[in-house]
Amino acid sequence: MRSKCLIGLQILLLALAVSATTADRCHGVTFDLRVGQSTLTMPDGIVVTVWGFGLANGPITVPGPVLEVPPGDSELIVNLSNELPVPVSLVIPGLSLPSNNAGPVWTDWPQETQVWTGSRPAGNYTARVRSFVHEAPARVGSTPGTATYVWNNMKPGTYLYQTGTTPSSQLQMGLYGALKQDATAGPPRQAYGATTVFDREQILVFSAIDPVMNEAISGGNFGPGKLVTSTKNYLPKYFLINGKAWPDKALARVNACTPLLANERVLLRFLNAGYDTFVPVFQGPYLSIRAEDGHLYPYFREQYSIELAAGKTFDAWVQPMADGVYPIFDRRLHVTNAGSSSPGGMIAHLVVGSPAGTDTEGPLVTAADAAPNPIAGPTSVTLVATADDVSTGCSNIAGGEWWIGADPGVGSGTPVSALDGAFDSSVEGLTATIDIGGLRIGTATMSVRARDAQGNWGPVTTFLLKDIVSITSVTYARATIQVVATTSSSSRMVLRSPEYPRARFTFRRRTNDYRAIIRRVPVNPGVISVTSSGGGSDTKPVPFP
Amino acid sequence: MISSPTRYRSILALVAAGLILVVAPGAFAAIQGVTGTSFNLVARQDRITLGDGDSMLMWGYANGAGRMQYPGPTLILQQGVPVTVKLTNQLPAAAGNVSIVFPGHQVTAVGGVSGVLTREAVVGDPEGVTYAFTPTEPGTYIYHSGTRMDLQVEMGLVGAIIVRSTTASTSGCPNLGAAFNNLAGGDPRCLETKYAYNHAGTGYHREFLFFQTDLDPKLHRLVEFGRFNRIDTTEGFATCWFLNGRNFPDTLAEAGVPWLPTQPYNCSPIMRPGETILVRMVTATRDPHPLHFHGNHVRVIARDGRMLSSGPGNGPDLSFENYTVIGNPGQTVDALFTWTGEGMGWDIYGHAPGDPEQPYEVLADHGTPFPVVLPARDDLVLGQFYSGSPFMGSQGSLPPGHPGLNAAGGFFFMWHSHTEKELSNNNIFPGGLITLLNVVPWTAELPVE
Repeated sequence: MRSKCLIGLQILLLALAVSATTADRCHGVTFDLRVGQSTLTMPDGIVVTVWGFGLANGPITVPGPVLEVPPGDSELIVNLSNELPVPVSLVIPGLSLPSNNAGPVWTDWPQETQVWTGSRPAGNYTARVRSFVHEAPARVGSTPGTATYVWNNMKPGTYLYQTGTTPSSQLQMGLYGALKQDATAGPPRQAYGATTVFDREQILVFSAIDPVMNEAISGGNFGPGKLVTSTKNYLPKYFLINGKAWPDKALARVNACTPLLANERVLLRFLNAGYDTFVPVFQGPYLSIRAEDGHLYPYFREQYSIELAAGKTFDAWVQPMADGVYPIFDRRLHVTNAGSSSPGGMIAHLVVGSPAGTDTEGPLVTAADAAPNPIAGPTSVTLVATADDVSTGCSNIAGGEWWIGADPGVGSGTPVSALDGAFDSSVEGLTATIDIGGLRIGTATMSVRARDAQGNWGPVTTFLLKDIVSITSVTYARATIQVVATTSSSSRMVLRSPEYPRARFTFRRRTNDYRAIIRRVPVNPGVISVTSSGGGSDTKPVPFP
Repeated sequence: MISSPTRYRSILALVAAGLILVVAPGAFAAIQGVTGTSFNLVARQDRITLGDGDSMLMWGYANGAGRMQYPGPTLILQQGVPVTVKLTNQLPAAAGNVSIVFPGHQVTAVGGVSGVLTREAVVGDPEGVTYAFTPTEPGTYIYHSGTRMDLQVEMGLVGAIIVRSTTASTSGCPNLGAAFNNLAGGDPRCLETKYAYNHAGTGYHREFLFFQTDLDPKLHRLVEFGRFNRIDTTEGFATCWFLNGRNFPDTLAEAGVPWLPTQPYNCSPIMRPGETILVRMVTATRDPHPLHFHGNHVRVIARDGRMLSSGPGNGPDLSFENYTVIGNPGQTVDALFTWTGEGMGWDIYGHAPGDPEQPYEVLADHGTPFPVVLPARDDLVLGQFYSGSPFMGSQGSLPPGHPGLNAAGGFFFMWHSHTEKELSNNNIFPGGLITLLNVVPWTAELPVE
């Protein structure tokens, strides 16, 4: 972030305490945001591909980094750098973009070969709006598409920033985050004015994931004529607060980076980036709901629950008078992980008092992967991972290491670098260049772990360098499917079709591919998938004879 | 027309399947529940009867040695008086632990094992968990399981709490102003005015609970058949809707009828013109059920047990009128309702101009004739609640076979969920989240609250 105010400012990830200073004659603040792909690992082990925001050179997170506009700044500038293969854009419900930033962007949907901006193209009654405002184009090769957005009407409040491009698909992928501006930096801090004085704040972003949608959208299988045609059958299975589902450690002490003392005045900023209404209940003293959608109420509402409809924000003030655990849960009972019998989903504990003490836990490594992955053959890849100490003591990340195969012992791996060049935050992107010459793709296990500033090493996170699987031919005739597939690895891979687990794929040396003949299929299944023991997979439609 | 004062008692027993049953006087109005400062709830498994005749396996809270009931016992508390609620778990082992959370109250829990939201009672442990809290503010509240809520709330582990205010009741009759025939202040027919909250603006004469739930039979059958691995509450799909644990038309049957042993509470609001009733709404499900007052408006005075007030001493000055009230999941809403027939533009009693006025009659309409000529009786299809006369307190001739359910000559208003699909029992209309408000004339005999 660059501020024209030229004062010390803090950029806060997820839910850190804030103590920005104010200054007269501040006019604007600039954030460089990247848009890219990452993964979230759900408590049941399911890995979901997500799209998210990150600060320039920072890790991609869901939700994106908390953007804090210093008090008094009237202008907000965001430079968007889009690493996704689709165009994206940025809107902030409640803050209109001036006309020079506005779209909309129209296409000859569903082909999307032509694009118009501004008004509907004259005489064209079939064009459809793709983006509400101008777009950051899809990346070309490794060059991201860029766009700049300027808001000149900032005012104090809690806001959701999110994609403004096909929100019915992109928003659920994770393209959202929290934006806030206080009225005064204090002390004491004021959210809107004298009636919203607070000592601490906690941001709570509610959202949900339907893994079927994420897989289809990230795999290019979403849209008219594709495997998943629309969000009509959206059926979320995972329910997140700040991108995490209970019992994730980050929710067991949701204010891990914001220690709270009894009698402190806490501002809870509730945001809903999901597609459904959630009803958070605070188990403790009554919430005093003081603002909605960034507007201060003239009279406050005393409730233990909030109707948090999609896209809305609420600011609730509460003053826990005693040390203890104050649970927050969704009363629409999204308290399961995909139907799990144990508690899951939208449950969080706000912990007051009993300070965390010294940090004795090492950071977690999430979203570990290589780029590119899957890959075709021996080359070098770039390690991409996020080290996160927010739920394990909230110290800064100090370093990390990677290795292939057996654990060489703590501290004996190859060091990684900070993605943004410096280890100075409790959430850091990790990067390293890994020469994989001589490795067999599909069998090489990569391992990463990170260390915090207290010297604690965290647990090991592993991933596989995956082979590229490609279905080269599929036919359906006389109740029999014949499918031929290749992998970028060797003949020793085991291929399967998840739809037909008993089907056997045999390697054919002459054509260097695998074939399966699946008999007694009375109805054309529409699509077929092939997965490899090397981690790769492919899905293709099954043609009619 | 024939006018005759009537006794009201015998009406409702006729509703369910036309059976004539023994009626306990006073059992069909007011809010039933348990009072005291020390409660003993036991989680048990039992069955309920749906409006379509189906039988459904439930988990619920029982009052001590009693049977499980749906919803659980309504706990009627006094503001400022500490209470303890002991919970023991006699559910089948497969149900696992159970607990109670009391949103809006600051609770301490002792015993049992620790859970995510509170302490939990283990199956078979006779010590269970004891929850203690002091209801510091009056109002309507909910309690429900805090353990595997997505399944246990669906299975029926829910109940209501009413906290009575410390404001003493006042006697005297309502004075609605010069436009009405107000009863004299000391008229013995008038009920005392009670106060939902500690402010004069929250007075009422009668109160009714609207505890709203729903049910997905598929989930209950999976529990019954022990197929717990098939349960996925993210795909729940309710097909039955309840007021106070009953589907319409059972909502109108009396409280405590023997053929609904695990659904003791009815939901059958009744009032006289000029009285004010307090509608206590509780939404216990994962979805809201917009309660529609069908031709009427209520004044919403509180949400989540807190008056809609601009500040201390200001009373419910932020209250507002609605004809459909949304209680969000887990929320409670209190609303006041009164009815006089004002605005009808005709004399609802069918008076001739010189006749004496009825209590709280709209004076401007006195003697104003009914604006249409009614067709002959046998040219009409008469609803079951038609008295034979369009006029309040009057009877007319009814054709053979008519059940004659409106013996008091009252005016019935359908109060129901305005999510219209919820007016059914497993796809059979009418049913579900419906009840009827009955406005009866002052000549009818009603139980004293």
